[in-house]
Amino acid sequence: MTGRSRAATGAACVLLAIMALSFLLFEQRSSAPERVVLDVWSATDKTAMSAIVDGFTAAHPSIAINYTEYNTSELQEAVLAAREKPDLVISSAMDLQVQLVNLGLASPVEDVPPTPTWSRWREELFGFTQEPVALLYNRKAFADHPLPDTRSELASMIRDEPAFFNGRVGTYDVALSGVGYMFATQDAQRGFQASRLVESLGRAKAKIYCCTNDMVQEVASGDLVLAYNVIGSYALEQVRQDPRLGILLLSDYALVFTRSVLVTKASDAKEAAGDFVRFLLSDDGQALVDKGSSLFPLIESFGKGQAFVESRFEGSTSFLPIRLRPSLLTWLDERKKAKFLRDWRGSINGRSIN
Amino acid sequence: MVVSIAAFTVLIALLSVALWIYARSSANQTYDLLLRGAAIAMLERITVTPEGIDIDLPPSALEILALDEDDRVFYRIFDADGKTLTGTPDLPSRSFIDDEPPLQEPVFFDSDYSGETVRFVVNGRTLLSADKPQWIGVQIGQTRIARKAMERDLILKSLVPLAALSIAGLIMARAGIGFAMRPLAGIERDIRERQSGDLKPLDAMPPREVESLITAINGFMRRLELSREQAESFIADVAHQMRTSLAALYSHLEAAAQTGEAGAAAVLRARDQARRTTRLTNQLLSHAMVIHRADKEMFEPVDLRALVRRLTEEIVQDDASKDIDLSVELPPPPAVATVTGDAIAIREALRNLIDNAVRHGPPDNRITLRVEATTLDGRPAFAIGVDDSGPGIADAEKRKVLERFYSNGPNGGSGIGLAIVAAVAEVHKGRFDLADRHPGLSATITLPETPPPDMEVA
Repeated sequence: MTGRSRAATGAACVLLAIMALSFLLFEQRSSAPERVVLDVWSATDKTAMSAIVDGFTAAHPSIAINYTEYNTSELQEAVLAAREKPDLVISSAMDLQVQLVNLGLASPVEDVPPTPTWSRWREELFGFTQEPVALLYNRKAFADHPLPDTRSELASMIRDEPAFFNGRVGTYDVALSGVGYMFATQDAQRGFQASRLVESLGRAKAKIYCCTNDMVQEVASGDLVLAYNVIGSYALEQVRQDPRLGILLLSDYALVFTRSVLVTKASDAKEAAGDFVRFLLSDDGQALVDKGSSLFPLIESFGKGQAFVESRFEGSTSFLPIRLRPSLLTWLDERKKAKFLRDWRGSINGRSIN
Repeated sequence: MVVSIAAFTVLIALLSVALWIYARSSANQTYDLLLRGAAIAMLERITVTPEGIDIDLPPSALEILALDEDDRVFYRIFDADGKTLTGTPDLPSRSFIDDEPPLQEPVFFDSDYSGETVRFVVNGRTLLSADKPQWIGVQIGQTRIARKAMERDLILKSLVPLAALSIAGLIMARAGIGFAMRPLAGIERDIRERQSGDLKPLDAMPPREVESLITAINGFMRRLELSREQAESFIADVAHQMRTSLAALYSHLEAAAQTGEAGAAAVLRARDQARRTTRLTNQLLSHAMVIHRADKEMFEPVDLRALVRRLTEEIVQDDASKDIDLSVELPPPPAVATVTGDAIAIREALRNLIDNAVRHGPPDNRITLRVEATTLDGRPAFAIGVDDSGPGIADAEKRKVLERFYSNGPNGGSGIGLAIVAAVAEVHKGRFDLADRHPGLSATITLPETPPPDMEVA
């Protein structure tokens, strides 16, 4: 800000103060400024977000949050269909968020604290968490059994020891879960081991689930010996409370995804909505993400690098962040998606039936 | 100054436009490669299967476009009828693409879409299947943010240094000119503050570029001083001669006041004196003219043949009363006799030589006017000689007769004729020789065909 504009702002402030005072004295009007209500449509657990929302409203008493929860695909349809768009959209479905931005529905936000480039796009879409995708296992089952180190090893193990693994491995149902689909497609995009692993999972009659929590329950109970591609942050919370659970990052790579937020172009409270985004990525906001929810804060974990995650997980690996970029749109292509799901189903069901 | 600034501005403006066009096309070329690469990647993965056309969108296609960070991307894959098979159906098209679908080479165009200007590529490929070939097209669009950034970058990186360089050049040129011209201001002051008679050479240390100018000015001043000195001494001589001559005339006229024979004789003497004074005056004017003309560059080709012919006709008319045998010897006709010189001065010189020959010759005088080719210091020249049968000039006198107002013999003239001839010879970088012929005198003026190249124009 230049000296002149600062002076102008100062003058404007004084003027506003005088006007406000005169209203108070002569008009006998309420001194409370008009409350801004932000419509937040979110596909992230409300429990995880509530501490953040509370922290924000405490810091900005003039802004109220109207929080509506969706699952990821519902959220997308709702945003596209809504005549009155929300002010903010928060989702763990990175591909769908990128699609909203690519359609030109988002509005840029200024002065957002610096974050890694992969986690923000066009200054319109901002990741605020960093969450690795992990392998969850039952400690008892693996007590006298070696843990796999890589995806290749995992595939070989499952193939070679049907007695141990058959019917006792789980993963996301990619047709049902948006993040599950994203993890599977990113796996497929990264290497040939992915299809081999899916085939192995199919041969072992893997069970498929809608949500990380379901897989956590089944692994804890011993119905599953392991679950592949669970959201590390959610699972970790359970792992800490439950000694039966172990969580592992395979050493070839670990996908990292981010939950992201955008301000809609249609929002009539862009400034307040921008405040929310800035708060999410401020030190206070990130501290709330860390302490008040099961999510991993982006900035702190980024600052500490591997150490942050490795102090919480077993195994050491290289992280492959899923980039908030239009390349994610490839997997939203109808034909591409249909083809991928057909092939995936073929692998996970067809061959296990044979 | 205003004109040069305007011209400079126009130049910069033209350069800017050229740069902008260049930057735009460079940015387009660069990012069109990405679009084209993405199109190729997509087309490569379209195959014909028994179930129909299989489109397996490669992640690399949009990955390529994600190389620039901020641009939004759009795509569709369509068939020969324009029906969208996958992707965004409402992408803008171009009539020439719809009209001629079997397009194999990429076509690029800009169009407004989704609130921005979007750069599109359309590329197609013919798929060979069992029954009939099928054409499939891919249209990919990318917003222009990266292109604009590159454009701006290119323009800034080239225009800013260019402008800085131009401005620096302008300033330095002005400073340089001012610096180089500073000695001239000193010279100007020097000249302005001088007394009118002060013709000392300039003592400024001129920059190399104007050194020759200063040398020329100094040379000019030197000649001016010389000529002024000559003029002063000439005027002093003339004043003396005129005074003497007029004093003689006055005393003759006084004597003419006597009566009788003495008076009549004095009248005759006075008449003679008046004639001499007139002749002296004419000669002085002639000499002044020769000297004056020598100051100016009046040289031109002079045809000696024609000059001599006209001169002899004139003399024959003027001196018709006297009994003169005048013969002319010219080079045989095909040869030209031309020198570069001042025709009037040469004519005056010859006229004086002939007058001298007439005056000093015996009654049966034979005068020969010769023009012949010769050389002077190794250069082609023409010798113009006047021979008479007079008494000649003693060797001791030969140098003196060339001086002004030196006259000898009973028929002595004004003493200025031969000085004129000598002056003309000098002006033409020629020479003037007097030689005895026993009897008679041969006076020869030799003029080079062209003045020597190093001749300073006096």
